[in-house]
Amino acid sequence: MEDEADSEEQDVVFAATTAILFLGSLLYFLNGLHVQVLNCKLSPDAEYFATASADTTVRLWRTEDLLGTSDSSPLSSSESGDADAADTEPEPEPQMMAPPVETTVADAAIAPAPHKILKGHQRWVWDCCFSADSAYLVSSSSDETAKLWDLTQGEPIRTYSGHTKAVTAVSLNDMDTAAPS
Amino acid sequence: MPSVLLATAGYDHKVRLWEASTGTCNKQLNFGDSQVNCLDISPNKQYIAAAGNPHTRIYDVNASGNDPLKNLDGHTHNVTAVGFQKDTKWMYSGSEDGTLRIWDLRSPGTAREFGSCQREYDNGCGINAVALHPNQGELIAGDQNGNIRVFDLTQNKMSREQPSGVGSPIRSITIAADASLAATAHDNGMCVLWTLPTDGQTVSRFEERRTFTAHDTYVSSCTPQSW
Repeated sequence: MEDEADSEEQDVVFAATTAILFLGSLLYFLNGLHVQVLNCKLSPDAEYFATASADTTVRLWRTEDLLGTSDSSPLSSSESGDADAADTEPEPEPQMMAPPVETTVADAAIAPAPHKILKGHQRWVWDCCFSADSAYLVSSSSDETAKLWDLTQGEPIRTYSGHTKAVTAVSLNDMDTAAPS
Repeated sequence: MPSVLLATAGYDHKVRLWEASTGTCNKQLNFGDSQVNCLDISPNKQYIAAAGNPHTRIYDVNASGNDPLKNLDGHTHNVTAVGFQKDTKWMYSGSEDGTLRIWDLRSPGTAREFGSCQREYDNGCGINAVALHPNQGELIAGDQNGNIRVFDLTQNKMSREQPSGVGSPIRSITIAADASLAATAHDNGMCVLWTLPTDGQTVSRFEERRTFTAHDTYVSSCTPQSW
């Protein structure tokens, strides 16, 4: 019946509008397809660039790939996200970060494929830090842990558990203090 | 064999020190009344600086207790960056209150009180990230307007403003140890790689080399994604 169809269509429109408004407010820190980078570090030897992200990974880039001083690397393909982990505990309060300025990124500058993607954290990765020899990286996450990564393997070799809330900062000092600066 | 200090902190009000090789937690330092936004270990491994909203605290790694050695008061909003001079003579902090501060760390007993604020620079808008240039003479701030600002510690003033070209707040800034490269990460997911040309100028300038999207994961579900 036409009336039923109209009424059903109205329900669908209403539900869709509500969903869009709801989703729009949830995407507060996401700009289109781009997921926020929360921290970045260059390795001490300047060979690597690490980005810690809200997509739960740390991406490791070779700076020579980014600068175009190596042989051309394949363009990155988009990853399917594991972003739908069931989260019940709220992450850090919003007032830590001021709202991002809304921008439109018309030409998303395509990056070369990252050298490695460090997967293991269950939630946002807030911070990361290289070892003095650039061979290891520590990362910290809303999953309440920090992890130590062997960068030649791209695998976590230690998990530091004990914090009872998000770990937003990590620092590693393994410098040889006896060496002259 | 060099000793390894690993420290973490966040929203549970504790700064944890870990045995990096085994994963055991050696110590839990008390931070107090807010989350920790940033922390750093001094180059000489003697101090840990941790900062939140709005306090900055410095801890003696070798002290037996778990409380700060000194509270560094002055900032009025979230402190987003802390770091040390390479000889641990002073440390810096940057804040969403728009200021960059230098704190004296020469030992107690000298004319200047340990942990006193030596200098304050006004960035004009909230600072989200700071890096100390390896030359130890320039502090590089990344701010809410998406600009890089160079503060020259010898001239005691801001010496250069470099727009990032991204039009999005800077979230993080990093400089390689040999000062050959720098990078900024922005709220909209873009990153910029910069070189610092050594062309005889005394004030560092940043040359954009690559601007790219670092993480391009699709949001795959509509479930409320608590962040």
